Amino acid sequence: MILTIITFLPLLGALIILCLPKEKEGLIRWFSAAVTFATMVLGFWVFFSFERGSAELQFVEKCSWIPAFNIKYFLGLDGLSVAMLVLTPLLSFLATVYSFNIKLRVKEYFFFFLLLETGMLGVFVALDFFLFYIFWEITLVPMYFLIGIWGGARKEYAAIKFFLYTLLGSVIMLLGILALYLYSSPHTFDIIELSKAQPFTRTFQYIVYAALFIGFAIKVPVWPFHTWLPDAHVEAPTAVSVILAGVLLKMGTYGMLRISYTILPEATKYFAIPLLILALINIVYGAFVAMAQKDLKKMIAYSSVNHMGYCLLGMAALTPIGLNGAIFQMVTHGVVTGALFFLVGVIYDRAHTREIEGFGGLMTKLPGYSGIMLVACLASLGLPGLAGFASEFMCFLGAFTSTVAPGVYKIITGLAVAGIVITAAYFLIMIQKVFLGPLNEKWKELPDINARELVAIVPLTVLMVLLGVLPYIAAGLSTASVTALLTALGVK
Amino acid sequence: MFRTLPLNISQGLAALTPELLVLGLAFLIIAADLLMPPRRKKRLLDLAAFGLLVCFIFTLPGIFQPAGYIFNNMLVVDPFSGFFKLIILASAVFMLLMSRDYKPLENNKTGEYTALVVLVTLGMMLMAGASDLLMLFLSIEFVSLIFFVLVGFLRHDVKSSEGAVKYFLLGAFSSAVFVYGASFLVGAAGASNFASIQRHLNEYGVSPLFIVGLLIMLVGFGFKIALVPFHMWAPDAYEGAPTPVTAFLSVASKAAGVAVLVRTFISLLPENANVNLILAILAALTMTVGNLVALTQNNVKRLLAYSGIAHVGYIMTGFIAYGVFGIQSVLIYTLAYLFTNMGAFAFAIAIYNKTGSDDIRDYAGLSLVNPLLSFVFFIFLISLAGIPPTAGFLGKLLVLGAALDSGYAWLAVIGVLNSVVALYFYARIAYYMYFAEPRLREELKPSGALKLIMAVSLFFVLFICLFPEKIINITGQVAGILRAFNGL
Repeated sequence: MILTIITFLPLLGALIILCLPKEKEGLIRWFSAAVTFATMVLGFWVFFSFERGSAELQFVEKCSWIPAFNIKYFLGLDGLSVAMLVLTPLLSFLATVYSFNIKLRVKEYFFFFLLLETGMLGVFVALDFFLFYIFWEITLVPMYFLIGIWGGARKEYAAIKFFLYTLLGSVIMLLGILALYLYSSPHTFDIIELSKAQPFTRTFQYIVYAALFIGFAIKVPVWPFHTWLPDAHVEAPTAVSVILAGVLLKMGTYGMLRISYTILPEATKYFAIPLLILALINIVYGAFVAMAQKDLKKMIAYSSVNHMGYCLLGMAALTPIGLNGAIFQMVTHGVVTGALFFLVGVIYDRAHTREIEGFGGLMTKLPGYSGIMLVACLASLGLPGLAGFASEFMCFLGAFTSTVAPGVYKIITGLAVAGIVITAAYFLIMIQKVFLGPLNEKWKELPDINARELVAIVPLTVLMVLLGVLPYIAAGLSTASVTALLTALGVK
Repeated sequence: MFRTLPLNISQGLAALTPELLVLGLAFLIIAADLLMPPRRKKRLLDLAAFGLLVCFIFTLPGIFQPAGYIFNNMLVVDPFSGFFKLIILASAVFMLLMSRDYKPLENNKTGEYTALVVLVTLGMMLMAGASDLLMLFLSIEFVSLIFFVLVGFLRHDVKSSEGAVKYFLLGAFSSAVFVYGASFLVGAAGASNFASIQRHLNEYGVSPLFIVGLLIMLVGFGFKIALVPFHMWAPDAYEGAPTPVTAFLSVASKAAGVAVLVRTFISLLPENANVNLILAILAALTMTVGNLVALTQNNVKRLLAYSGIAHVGYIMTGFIAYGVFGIQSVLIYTLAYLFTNMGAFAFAIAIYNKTGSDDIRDYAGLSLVNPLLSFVFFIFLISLAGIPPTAGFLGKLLVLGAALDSGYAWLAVIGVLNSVVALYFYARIAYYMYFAEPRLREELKPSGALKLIMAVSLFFVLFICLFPEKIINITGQVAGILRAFNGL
């Protein structure tokens, strides 16, 4: 029952918000915070009661839903998904707290936000394609509104671009899902059953893999499907950017691991090297483009392209350490980039600009803010001792030791390491321009970070350190499942 | 499951109870129109809606009845016709409820209007059960003639007259083509009823002449359901007609057209005749043209007309799969389309009553004054676009599944690409409601009847997707019996 409760609690909250009078904005805010807090607590409960050593599905809920098409209401968790199930409610709660500064159409905002949370949680727990797809699509609608109503200057454009782009991906994915259903016998939408049965021929696997890949790649986003991301990220309100970067992008990588890797093993091995090359492009291209940005938020947005590249690198490796690293990277990227987007929001709320060139010397004026920002940037660029280092290191190590085609992997991993340097470069340049040097007189009245913002950001900062020092907290969650997955794939 | 022997007259009449009730209702309305004082004529609409609701209840057992021919094979009663009769009756009830509150229709010959609506409902019910080329032609003509009048019902509105004339001219032409095609069939098979033609086909096989005749008839059907390239009349007729008539035309008339198309092709066209490719190309064209043209529409009725054309393309996609699964997907898609479209049109009427405009740009700011109503309308829009958790999604899923299952992967790909295009213009409406600079300042107060339509539609739009088991089973049976009883 616990997964159903976690998943639908926000939806219930959203429906209750519909019934609250829209003038009582304070009540709506606190109520949303209470709902997301409760969801987060349940998420932690799952985290602590999750049995790490087991590759079996846990907290399984399975009952018949539409027997005519063999569709089941099937929820469950294993090492591939548990980390995201903890991260999602956490980020949702922090984003809700941060969103207390939303003044416009408060009721609708929190309604859509809670609806979004249900969609995201559902994606990570659903193990039946029909259910999975419904949750997958449910995330689109609130996102469209959250960007389109509460976004920045070009919000309408960004909203529709996001909506169309991701819908394109998901309908192509839908065809892949339908093909899996139609070519399995007995017909089933059950992801686990399909992965165990393995009834598909090689060619069929390649075609379906490609269809699913388009859907996932747009979400991740993998170059060249990434162009919606900078627009959506830059125009979205702060809390929504956090969710977008922290959770939504991971739906893509999670989908690949959960579906393509388990159901289409032949295709996964066949496409490992192309995926590796795309990972390299994501890393290097993302880093270079991030360096060229003048807008702070756009820079962070492109850094997401860059960091999701590390995740892809780990996935392409097909080694235990690489896959564990990829899953860990999803978590650390969610934590670190989530914090960075919050921090960009903090400065934008005060200065109403995000021009990197326009700041300078903020360290003297905003010591608290600058300190946290510094930690987050260093975590993002992979400083040892902070979260980013551990996961990126695992991804690189995994790719370097891959047994699929050792020569190619070693060369490409070597090239990808350049990404780290560029990442460090753009973060350091940004820090220098924004925080160091003489104080720009324009900003001498800026107040430092306030309590609401601290509540949203400090937990993430703590996590950065914690995950950096004790990576096992999160990285250990997936080991058993990854081992089982790799055994099924037939690689060591 | 079937009655093998033809039924005698009294059994036939018993099987036609719903139609007879509707006929009686029409006479009742005409009589009541004479007797009622002019100020209370609105009651006629209520009376008709109530009467059709009763007929609906009488028709309900129809989807579980055994199949059989009646009146010397002129008509067939089977679950398939029962299913479409229910859709037609339901949309007629919705339509009459909408007409109550549609301003341009107030004090405008309500009696005649109501009687025509009831009669056209009867005509479409007969279409759904026609199993003889003659009966088919007569019922189609009956329906078309009444619809010409209904489309032009706003006599002082130029657009209404324009729509009616276009509809009439093209309709007359396509009827002629239909008869021409039917004459090939009669010539080739020596009989006009489906049962005899099937016997002939089983004995002598299909001649090219026969196939040609069937394809010519397709033009006639294509006109009815607005299949590209026979769709030209639809946007003008939809725009000009009173909005309730537009809703009726887009749902009931289309459903009836789909019913005769499916029945005729299933009954008369052997699977090895290789015309499915033609149908598939038409389906792809219909979806694509409908959606692309809809992109630039600002009038909500025209937009829904073009999107309706695209939906016909999807229905055809399911149909070309030809098997039980394909027919089932057509049935579910039609059902989803009924509720979604009716909800959307009820909404368009509510806005029109307030602003006097069908322009979607005048929807700007609606979400500020009517947040709940806007969101409900948005749910109808995503159902039209085929996004879960709505009925439109289930329909699209099944249609695509049927296409993939029968090897038309390319058609399925065109189908999904089209749904992305479609999302753009549906989202454009959402854009005006939610994001654009507000123009509407006052709250809309839709009447009780409109609210009822929206609530019922919303319920079914969500219900069909989330709890479809029953509907899937029933439609599966309906499709199975159709294949077994009518199929070659």
